[in-house]
Amino acid sequence: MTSAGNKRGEALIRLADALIEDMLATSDQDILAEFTEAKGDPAMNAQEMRAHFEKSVLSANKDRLRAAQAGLARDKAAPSTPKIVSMANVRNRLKRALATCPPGVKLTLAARNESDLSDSDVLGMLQDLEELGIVAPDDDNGQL
Amino acid sequence: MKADVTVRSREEIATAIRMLTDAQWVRLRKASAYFAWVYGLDGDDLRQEAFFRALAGGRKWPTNVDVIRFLIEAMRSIANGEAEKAENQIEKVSIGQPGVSAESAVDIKDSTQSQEETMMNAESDDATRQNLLGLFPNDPQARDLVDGILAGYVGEELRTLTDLDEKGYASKRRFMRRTVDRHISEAKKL
Repeated sequence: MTSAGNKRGEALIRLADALIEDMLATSDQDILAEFTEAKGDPAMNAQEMRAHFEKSVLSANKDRLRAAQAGLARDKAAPSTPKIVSMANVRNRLKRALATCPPGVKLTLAARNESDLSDSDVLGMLQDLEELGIVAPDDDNGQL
Repeated sequence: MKADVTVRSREEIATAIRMLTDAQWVRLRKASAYFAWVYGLDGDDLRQEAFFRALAGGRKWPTNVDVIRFLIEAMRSIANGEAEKAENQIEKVSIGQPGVSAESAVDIKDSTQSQEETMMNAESDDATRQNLLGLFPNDPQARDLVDGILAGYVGEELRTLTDLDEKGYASKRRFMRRTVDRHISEAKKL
């Protein structure tokens, strides 16, 4: 309808534009009087249109929720990228944590002697201490 | 290079629309009806879609633009997009039809008009023009005004065409709009 080959569309669009400009230039008082005469109560019209708008709000909110859910599903489905960590850094962190560990925290004898622990145990223990809030989480976790 | 523009947030858009006055709602309704009439769409759907796109972030609202202007432009863009889609729509042909080979099951319609389509549109153009002019049987100035707008006249050249002074011209434009409003209202909700 609006392609260069269709003059009917273009002519009507020009007319619509002219009608809109004229309508926008008309005072509130006159536009309300026109509506009252032709259609009825403008306040009722506003009420109906606000109700329609609230439906759009609901629809947009649902759309956002769906998008968020889809994003979450994508994150879950995506393969996790393996982190490369420096075990020396991690062991140092654990050592520091154990040295400053509050006396109330019970640790096994093996835990207190971190040099005897396997790499896997060291990482697990540091993670446990972080989860317990005894050690502040470290973003890089000894990452290289 | 485009200058940076600040756009309103989703919450600001929702608040601004909720605070529209009765007169602004009437203007919005009229504008949607004009586009619906021109593009053969439903005015309510057009408004709903404009609201949705504004709230979903598909349509940005620069802070220096009036809320009604913003929503009108959103509706214009949606209506125009729908018209473009209709023009380029895929025409499906039933595969099982005798004499139709499987290769012709889908045909993308050419957006350039055939000679037949051009002739049909020309007839339709004239019918639309005559319909509109017929709304003002005893008012040559209103007819000139409508004809001038359809032909692309604007501003002062349009006023000169009607041979009216500024006050008379403003009054004639309003009369023309109200008459066309009634005409549209008979076919669609305004």
